[in-house]
Formats: sequence, C-alpha cells, structure tokens
Amino acid sequence: MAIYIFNLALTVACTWLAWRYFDLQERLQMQQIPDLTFLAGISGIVDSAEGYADPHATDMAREARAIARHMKLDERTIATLHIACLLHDCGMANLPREIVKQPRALNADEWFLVKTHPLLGELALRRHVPVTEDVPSIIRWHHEKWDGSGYPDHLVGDEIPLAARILAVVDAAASMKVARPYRKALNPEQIRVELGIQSGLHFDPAVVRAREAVCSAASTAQEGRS
Amino acid sequence: MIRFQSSWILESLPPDAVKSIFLPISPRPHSLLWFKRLGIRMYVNDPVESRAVILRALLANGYEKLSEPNRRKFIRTLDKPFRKETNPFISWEHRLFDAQQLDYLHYWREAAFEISKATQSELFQAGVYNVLAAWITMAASGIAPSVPPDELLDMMIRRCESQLVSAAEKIFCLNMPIDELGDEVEADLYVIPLTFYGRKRLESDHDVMFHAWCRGNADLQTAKVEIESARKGWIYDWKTGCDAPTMLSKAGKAAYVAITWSGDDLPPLWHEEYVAGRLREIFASRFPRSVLRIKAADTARNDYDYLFLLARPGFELPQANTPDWKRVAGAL
Repeated sequence: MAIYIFNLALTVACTWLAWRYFDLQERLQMQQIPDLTFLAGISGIVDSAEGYADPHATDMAREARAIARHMKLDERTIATLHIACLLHDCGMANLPREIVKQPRALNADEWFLVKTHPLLGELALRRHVPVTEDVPSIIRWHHEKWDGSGYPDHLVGDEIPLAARILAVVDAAASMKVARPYRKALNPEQIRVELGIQSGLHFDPAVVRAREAVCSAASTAQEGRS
Repeated sequence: MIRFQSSWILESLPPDAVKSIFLPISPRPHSLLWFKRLGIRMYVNDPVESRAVILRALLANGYEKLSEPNRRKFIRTLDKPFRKETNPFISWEHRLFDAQQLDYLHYWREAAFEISKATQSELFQAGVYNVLAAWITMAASGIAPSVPPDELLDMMIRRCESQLVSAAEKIFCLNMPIDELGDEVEADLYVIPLTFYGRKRLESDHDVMFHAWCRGNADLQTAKVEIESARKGWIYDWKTGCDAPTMLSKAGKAAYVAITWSGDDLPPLWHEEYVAGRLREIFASRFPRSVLRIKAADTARNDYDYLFLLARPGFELPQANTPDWKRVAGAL
C-alpha cells in the first residue's frame, strides 16, 4: 500500500514538474515577442504610405486573432500571426515608389516587381527585425493560394502554414472593404459571398468557415448590445 | 512535401553567380517559373512523363496560348452523360468525384490525345492538372465545386497562359531516366529537390492523381509505384538515406550545388545531422565548402525548410542576404 501511495505521489510530482517546465518555457518564449503597440504604430505608417485611410493592418490583426482563437491555435502562434498581420506588406517599402503609387494598370514587368514584395518583406524582417522566427515565412507566403495558383512559390494546400492561410483570408477581406479604381468597396455580406466562392480555390475552406463563424458571432453580439 | 523556393536559392548565392541551372529531377514545375522569368538558362529533367508534360507546358512553351479553334472544340459543355463502362476512372466515383466530373475527366483525356500539336496538348493538360488540383482540395474539404467543369478548365488554362513568359534563355525540358542523364551538363548551379517517402493519402496527392489520369489507369497505388520507381534513390529514406554518390556524379562542372527539402516530422537537429551530414560526407570530395540554411515555416509543428549549399574550391558562399528588389528580381 505504501509503495502504491509513493508511486502515485511520484507520478503526480513528475507531472507537476513537467507542467511547470513547459509553462515556464512558453512564458519565456512569449517574453521574446516584441512590443505589439510599437509594431502597430509602425504598421500604421506603412498603411498610410500604401494609401489606406483606416488602420488596415491593425484591423486585419484583430480579425486574424479571432479566427485563430476560433481554430484553437496556441497562444504563441496567435501572437506570431498578429505580428505577421501588422508587418505583412512591409516589403512594399523596398519597391520603387513610382510603381507602388501608380494610378494606371501595371504592365507585366511592374507586376512582376510588385509580386516580389512578399520576398522583400521576408528578407527585410530576417535581416533587420528580431521577430519570432515564423513571421518572415508567413509574410513570404501570404499571397499563396490553396489551389497552388498563388505566388511566389506556388505552394498547395497545407504546404502553406496555417497562419499564412489565415493571413491570406483576412488580407483579401480587408482589401475588399476598400474601393479600388476598378471596383467599389464591398459590404460585409458581399465579402462573405466572395470568400465563399473562392473557398477551396484560393482560400482554405476551414479558414473561410472559421471567419464566417467569427463574423456571425460578432454581429450577434453587436445586435445583443444594441 | 517540399516547399521549393527558387528565390531563396538565388538569394543565398553570390549575385550574378548563377546564369544556368541543372535539375535532374523537377520539383512542382510551377515553382521553376521564377528562374524562367529571371532569364536563367535551365536544363530540367523529370523521369516521370506526366510531370514532364507540365514542365514542357509551362517552361518550354515560349508564349503560345491555346488556339481559339482548340478552345472552342475541346472546352465545351457535355450534352449528355458518357457510357460508364468506357470510362477508365469509374472506380473514383463517389470516392473522389461525382459522375459529371468523371465524364469530363474521361472526355478531357481523349481530347488531350486528339489535339495534334504537342504544345497545344501540353497546355491543355496543364489546365487539367490545375482543375484536378482544385477538385482534390475541394473534395478533401467536403466542398462542392462552385464553377462548372468546362468553365473551370477554361479558367485554369487562361491562368496557365498568364504565367507564360518568353524565356530570355533557352530552356531544355527532358524526360529521361535519371541513370541515362549524362554528367557533362555545364550549368553553374546543380539543384536537387529532395523529397521523403511520405504518409500522404494517395487521393490527396495531386501528382499521383494526375499521373493516373495521364496513364488512363485509375489505380492510384500503381501510379504511386511508377512515380517512386522512376525516382528511386532520389527520394530520401530515413533508414537507408538516398543515392548520394549518383547524385554527386550528375554534378558535372557546376560551381555550386543546392539541395533543398522540407520537414515537419523531426526537429532541425535531426535533419542537420542525418540528412545534411550524410550528404556532406559524400559531396565533400568535390564540394568541400558547405552551409545549411534553415527557415522556420511553422515552429509549432516542427515544420522547417532546409537549403544545403555546397561550393567547389575557389567559390564563395555568402553569409547574409540583402532586401533589395534589384537583387531579388534581377536587373529588370
């Protein structure tokens, strides 16, 4: 009996020690994540340079966090995704301004240059910003598409890390909210329909479904408040 | 699975060091468009015919689009269902696709043979590859396609056409058994995309499905065996490794070797020690300098990408990359 109790106590103690170890490790990793308020400020500067009136990247980060929580991602991945949203278009800063600010349709060479912005963003972050190590890759792949038709690497399906798939959906939704020379701004319902059409082609269906659930929960909560 | 990143390879080597590339085995052909766009001469081989078709469609094709007569003739709505007995893919019904999709797969395969000009047929097949990829991913997610098959094929062929660029340098697309490739290729860079024996379900493997479609044989296991036997020795096995001496023998006069792979199974230390370590041992006789670059894709899943670079004596391997569009995109 005594041996049984001793073994039980030992098992409990070992489990508790292991839990403490992993908890401490996770806390230490979280401490390495940079100041999000500061990054949000920097991303606001990038947004205004790109011509967005609203805090485009901050809104994206909020939506991405909600989707990631709905999909039950771990806290570290959620924090990583948040940073990637804030910095996703930082590569644009390395492109010639006359191309970024071009009001007319771009020619093939100019398009090719614009398509290098995820690569430039990734390189800039790896070189200059000590962020968590997944962030540059998420930025590299935020224009990849579920069916392999994206860029720069034509990745397919779950070859694209989940965080990059979430970023792709929230980036598309955020850009649909803004009017462009070739189309009007879309309302939330039109965005939902458009994402639904591209679900399984451009976007991961699980992410599109999670976004729908998050948006519907948010609108229900808003109705409740009003 | 491999996340082949053409730009990463170029960024990691000295500027202007690479004017030509040799790949004895091809990654997904779409991922090589970057090299083509930058005007790099390429010698690309794939021992699997179904892969070589896509290679030729995307890389060897200068700027030829699907002709209007072929578009009108072969991309059309089927008026009535086909007889099931004649459809070689009937065993996929309900398991992967519905009867209508199978009718189209059958019809498109016959159409691909009917198109007489090779470049036209290859472009058509590249479109079918993309349709299959889209259907497979949708089927895996339980989503019914929102676009009719003929419209989807038209869309996918136009997408392939939009990716075509005229190559500034000649591109050689080969379809030869690897053993028969000579070792006299004179390229600056020798690239090996390394894949691993995987656990992927056959139904969700685009290459296996497309190979089965090309062969007109619905047995996916046969398709998988055919692909793997054509690439024998060039797929990494954790127990036996890969045929590194043969890999080295194909290096020709290349100044650099780039071996790249992705792994989400084991921590990077294992890949460094076992994969890169074994390759380093074999390649050291001719490529004594080497560096392993590792990029995190998703650390929560231990998912990393690896780029193992080797250089001949007298050639440098740079330490850092610069974020400059002229460096990344070449001097456009």
